[in-house]
Amino acid sequence: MKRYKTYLVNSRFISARVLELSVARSNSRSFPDFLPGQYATLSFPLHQKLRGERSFSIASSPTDSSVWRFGIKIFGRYTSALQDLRPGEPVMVGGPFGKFSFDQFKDQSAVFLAGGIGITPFVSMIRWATNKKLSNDLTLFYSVRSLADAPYREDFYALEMLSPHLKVIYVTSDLAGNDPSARIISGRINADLIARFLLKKLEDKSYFICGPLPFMKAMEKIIGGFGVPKQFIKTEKFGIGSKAFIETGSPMPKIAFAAWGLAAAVVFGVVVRMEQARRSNAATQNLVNSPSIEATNNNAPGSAVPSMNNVNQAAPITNTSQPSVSNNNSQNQSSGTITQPSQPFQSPRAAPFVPRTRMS
Amino acid sequence: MKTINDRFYALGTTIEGGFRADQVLAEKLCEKIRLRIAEFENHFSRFLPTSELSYLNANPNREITVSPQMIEIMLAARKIWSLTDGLVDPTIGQSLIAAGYDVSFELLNNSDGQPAPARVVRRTLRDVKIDEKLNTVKIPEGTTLDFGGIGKGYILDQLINYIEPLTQDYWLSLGGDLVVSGRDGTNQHWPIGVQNPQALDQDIAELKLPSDRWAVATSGITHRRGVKAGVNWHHLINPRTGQPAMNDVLSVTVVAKSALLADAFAKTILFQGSKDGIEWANRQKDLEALVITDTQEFVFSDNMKKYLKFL
Repeated sequence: MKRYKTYLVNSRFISARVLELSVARSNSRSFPDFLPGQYATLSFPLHQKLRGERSFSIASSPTDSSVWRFGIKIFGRYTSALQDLRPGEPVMVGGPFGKFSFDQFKDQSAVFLAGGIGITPFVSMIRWATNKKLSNDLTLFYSVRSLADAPYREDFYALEMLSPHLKVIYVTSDLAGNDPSARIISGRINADLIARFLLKKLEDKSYFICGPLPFMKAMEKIIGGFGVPKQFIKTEKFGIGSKAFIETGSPMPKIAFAAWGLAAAVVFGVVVRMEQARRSNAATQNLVNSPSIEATNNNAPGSAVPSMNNVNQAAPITNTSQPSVSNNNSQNQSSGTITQPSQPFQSPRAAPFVPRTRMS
Repeated sequence: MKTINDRFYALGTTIEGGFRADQVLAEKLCEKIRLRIAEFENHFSRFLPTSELSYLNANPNREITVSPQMIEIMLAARKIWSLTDGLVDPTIGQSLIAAGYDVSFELLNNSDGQPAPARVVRRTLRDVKIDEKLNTVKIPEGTTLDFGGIGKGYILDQLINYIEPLTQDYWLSLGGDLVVSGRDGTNQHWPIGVQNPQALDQDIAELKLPSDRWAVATSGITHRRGVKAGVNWHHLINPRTGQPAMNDVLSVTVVAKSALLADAFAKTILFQGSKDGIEWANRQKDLEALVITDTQEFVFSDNMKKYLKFL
């Protein structure tokens, strides 16, 4: 597999636990193009804690000529170490891989079902379709623990404004967030919910499913119930034990063959198989313990899930026909995605909403 | 059309705004503004150890590959540095630290018994190497960048790009630096309060500007200030002296076409004093200013008075 040397352009949190890495497209003429929805491998040669290469879905549009973006859930030791990366650091990119891709001609009406971090390939597809001004009808059902946990939410707002053909429905486990008028639904994705937003001819659409294994199984069962032929259901498994992870999770066997010969390779093979079995068990355990639908990275090692950060809900937005005095001081913060002062904001006075220039 | 208002806390100050627009779209817009500001803070805050700016400041004498956003703000800073003859300079960071402004202002203890601010020998933006093609920045040893002088204006100008596809009738304030456009819910020009520098919770005048988009910014020495070892200090450091500005100006309010310019020009006038500052303002295009002096005099640029009503 050919790898391309490039560098990290940006690293930023786009939700409480999702880090977005932006990697420069290499100037090399042979640097590949990708299809929306594909994934690539990344490795970071200068970092001891980031040994080996891992595969991540590409979240940017193929039309973005400057960077490839990757949305990565901070989950275990490896992904935690990704937070140490700084712009300018060298990155090796391999790929792209995968057949989980949107076809503008075949998929005239597409339904995207995303669980947690399984949203990333859909971000690429939706960005691409919007950039290309395609008229394909796209409906995204995005299952997340809470809206504050939902990466790319602001991107979807912008994309919905740009495209009349895109509809995004958030399905959250957070009961407090229920707001059907804003297409925010508390609960789980089920057949009734899909039918309510798709209205007609459920069987004529193309369905794309991406998320953790329990989510995938549940969605496949629901879509199967609509009578959709199998060729119109595309799936991408996210999580430990997925094909992508096993293929690219560790370069150790190749090194062993080259360095120590066949005998050493046999020993190593045993070690690797044991390690895979251990990770697989850990993954199963994590999935069993998971209280609700929540995606993992394609490849995160099976370490403990960090506790969820406390995030503040967006402040209430008042609605007045003209400026008026309000005692309803807003609390800080956006969707808790990025580092921010944690103390609640107390206005020095119950100020009316009027423009006022003052010393800053 | 109703006015949708929002207020929250970020960048060490209050962010607030009003938008005459469809409620659902305005609420989405407010959400987007919050996220953009948080993203901006993560890139450019001097007080966040994980920010890109902190990384740059921690690595002097090295060509650091930075994000396109960092290159963009560095180029904006260079333009402002040139327009203001070096009076607004992001390399002021070391002087701010020496003046005691080493943490976000709300965390400062103003009477900690530390010695009074000492003059710091420092460099200027001319010594910072910005390579647009390679996306690299190299700062010299002993230099700390701080975008406090232009940051709010810069991000305000960026946020306009999100607001104006939705509505032309709005105002948005980042800690008192604001952009105003169109009319309010009663179809009047937005009335803009001008802060009294000696009674900070009161307004001293009201500005009424024509309907097209304007940016307004105020800089003054009576807000972020303290006493160290018996010496008064405030956060507006004159890059030419490395010391807090000491002249007859209490506050300057500027009206300009862009928030970046308004933010920077308010400081430029303040550093020059009322007489020279207003003369300088009169030589600039699309710039009006009001200076309030320590003897409570009001000094105007040529056209400012017609926009003002004193309270």
